[in-house]
Amino acid sequence: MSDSRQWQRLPLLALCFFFLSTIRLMMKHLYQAAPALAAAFIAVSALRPFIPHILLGLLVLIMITTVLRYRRFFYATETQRICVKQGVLRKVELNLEYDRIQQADIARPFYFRPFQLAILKLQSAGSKAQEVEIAGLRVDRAVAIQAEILAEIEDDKGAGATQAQDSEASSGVDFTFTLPPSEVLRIGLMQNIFVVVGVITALLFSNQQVNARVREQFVTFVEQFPSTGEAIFAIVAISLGVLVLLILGTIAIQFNKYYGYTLTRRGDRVRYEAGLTSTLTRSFRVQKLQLLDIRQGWMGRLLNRQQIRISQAGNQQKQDGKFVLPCVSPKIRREFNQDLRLPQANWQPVHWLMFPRFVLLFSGLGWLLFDWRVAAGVLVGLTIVRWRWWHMFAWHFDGEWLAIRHGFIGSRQQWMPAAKLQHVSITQGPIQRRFKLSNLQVSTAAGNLYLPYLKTATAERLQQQLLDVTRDNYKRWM
Amino acid sequence: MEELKWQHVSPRYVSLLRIDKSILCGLILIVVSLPAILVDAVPLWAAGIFWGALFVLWLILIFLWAPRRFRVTAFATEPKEVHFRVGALWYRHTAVTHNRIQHLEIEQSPFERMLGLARLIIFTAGGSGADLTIPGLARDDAMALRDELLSMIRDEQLDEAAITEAGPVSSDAKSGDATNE
Repeated sequence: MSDSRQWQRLPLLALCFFFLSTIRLMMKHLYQAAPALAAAFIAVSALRPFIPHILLGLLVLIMITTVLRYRRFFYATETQRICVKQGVLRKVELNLEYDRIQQADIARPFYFRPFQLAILKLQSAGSKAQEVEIAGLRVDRAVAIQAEILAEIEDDKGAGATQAQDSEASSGVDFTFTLPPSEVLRIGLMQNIFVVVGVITALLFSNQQVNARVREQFVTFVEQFPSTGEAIFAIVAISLGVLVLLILGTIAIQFNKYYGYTLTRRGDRVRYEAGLTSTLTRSFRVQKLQLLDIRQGWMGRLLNRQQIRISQAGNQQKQDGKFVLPCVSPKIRREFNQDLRLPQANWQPVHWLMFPRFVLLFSGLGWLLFDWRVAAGVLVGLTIVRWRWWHMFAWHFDGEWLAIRHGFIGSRQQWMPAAKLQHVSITQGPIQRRFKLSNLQVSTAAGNLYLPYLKTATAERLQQQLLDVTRDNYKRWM
Repeated sequence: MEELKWQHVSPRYVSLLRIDKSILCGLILIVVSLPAILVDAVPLWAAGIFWGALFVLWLILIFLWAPRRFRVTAFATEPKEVHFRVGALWYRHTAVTHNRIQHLEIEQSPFERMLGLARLIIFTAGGSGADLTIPGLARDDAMALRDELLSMIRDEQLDEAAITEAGPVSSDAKSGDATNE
C-alpha cells in the first residue's frame, strides 16, 4: 500500500525525551509492583549481591527501548490534521483532526531549552481521550502548529491561520493575570502533603515482610536511647523534620512548575505559561470548556486561595493534563468569574434525609461486630461527618450554568454550562420514594454532576429545564 | 411538564429476562454446588438450604420480578428527545436530546436473536460506554427507531456560535441566547 504522506522523523535530541519517557513508564510499572519488589529485596537476601547487575540490565533495556521508540516514531502535518505513527511491538497510526483537539500544550523541558526545542502535546476528545506527544520540534514550529490548531475558529470567521498567528503578538489581550513569586510559593503549601505521607505509610505497612523489617529497625532505634521519653522525643523530632522537608520539597517542586504563571485570553483562546527550569504553555478555546472544578482544601482556606481546573471533553482522567489556575486569590476569582460570565451562585440545599444516610447502617454494624460503645462512637462520629457533608452540599441552576458545591473542611464546586448536557437521569430508591425524593445525575463530556436527595418534583423540573436549554441549542458545544 | 407518551417494549422481553435469570441461577447453582458435592466438610443440610433458597429466588425472579420489570421498562420518543425508564424498586429515568447523540448501535445476543429482539444503544459524549440502552425491542422496531433517530441527526444544522463564551456580553450573543429562555 503506498503512503503519500510526508512522514518526518524527530531530531536526534528527541532521544533524551524517549529516554526519560521510557524511565517514567518503567517507574510507573515498577511502582505498582513496589510492595512485591520491596518484599523480595528484604526476603531474598541472595538477590542482594546481584542488584548492580539487575540495574545494569534494566539500563540496557531502557537504552534499547529508547532507540527503538525513537526509530519508529514519525509524524506528518496536513491541512487541519496531524498524523503520528509510533510503537515498537504494536504499531499505531493516529490521525488527529485539529477540530477534535481539546487542548494544545507546548512543553519546554530543561534539556530542550538550550537547543530551542519543544514538545507539542495534543489532547483529543474521544472515548479513549488520546494524547499525542511530539518531542524535539523547533519551538517556532511547535508554536506555529499550536496557533494553527487554535486559530481554527478564526478560520471560520474568514481569517487565515497565518493571519491569526501574526495577530497573536499584536492583538490586544482581553484578560490576563500573572502570579507573583509570593503567590507561586503558596501553591506548594496548598497541596495536601498528607496524601504523600499516606502513600509512604501504606508502602511501609503494605506486606508482612516489610512490616516486620520496619518494626525491627524501629525497636533497634528505640533501644539506643537511655529512656523511652527521649526515644519519643527523637521520633517526634525526626517525624517533624521529615514533614517539614516534604513540605519544602513540595513547595520547591510547585514553585519550579508554576514560576511566572501568566494566563492570557485573546478572544476565544486562553493560554497559560509557567515554569522555571522547564516551561509549559497550555492552551484551549473557551468553546471547548465542559466543566469547571473550583477547589479549596483546608490549607487553601487558611491562605484564602482556591484552585481552578478547567476540563474539556474526554480528559477527565488525567489531573496533570488539565488547564489549571493553581492559586486564585479572591480578586482574581472575581475577575475570572466576570470574564467567564459565571453568575453569583444562588445555592439551594438538598433534603435533610441525605445526612442520616449510612449512619444507622454503620452504627448497627458496629453493634453487631463489636459492642454498643463502638456503635455509639460510630453514630456520633458519622452523624457529625454526614451533617457537615449535608450542610455543605448545595446546588445552583440559573438557566445557563448548573453547579454543585460540596466538601467537609475544604470545599469543591463544579460548574457546567447547562446546555452542554450529554444525558440526564433521575434515580430513586425505595426509601426515597416514601419521602418523595430523587437523585439527579447530569453527565457532561468531562464528568458527571450528582445531585442527591432533591424533592422528586424539583428533580423532575430541573431535568426538564436542563433538557429545555439543551434540546434546541445547536451552538458549538465542543 | 408535559406527560411523556411511554411505550412498552416487546412482551417477549419477559421471556428474555426469564432465560437470562435462569442461566444466572444455573451458574450460581453449579459454582456453589461443586464444593458441596466435592468437599466432605460441607454438610448436606447446608447445601439443601442453599438449593432451597436458590429455587425460591428463581421462582421470584421468573414469576414476579420478570413481569414487573417488563411493566416498568418503557421508552418515549419526543420530537427532540429520547427517554427511557426502568426499575420498579430502584427507579431510573434517563433522557438524551437528539443534538447530543454521537452514534447509535443495535446489539443482539444469541437469545435475543432467538426471540427476535434487539437492544438499541444510544451513545453521547458523556460518561464512558453506553449512555442509554433500550432493551427488549422487537428487531424491526429497533431498526426503525435507529433509522428515525439517524435521519433526524443527519438533518441537524450546527450553529457557528459557541455555547461558552468569555468576555463582556456582546449584543449578538444576547440575541442568540433566546433558546435559554
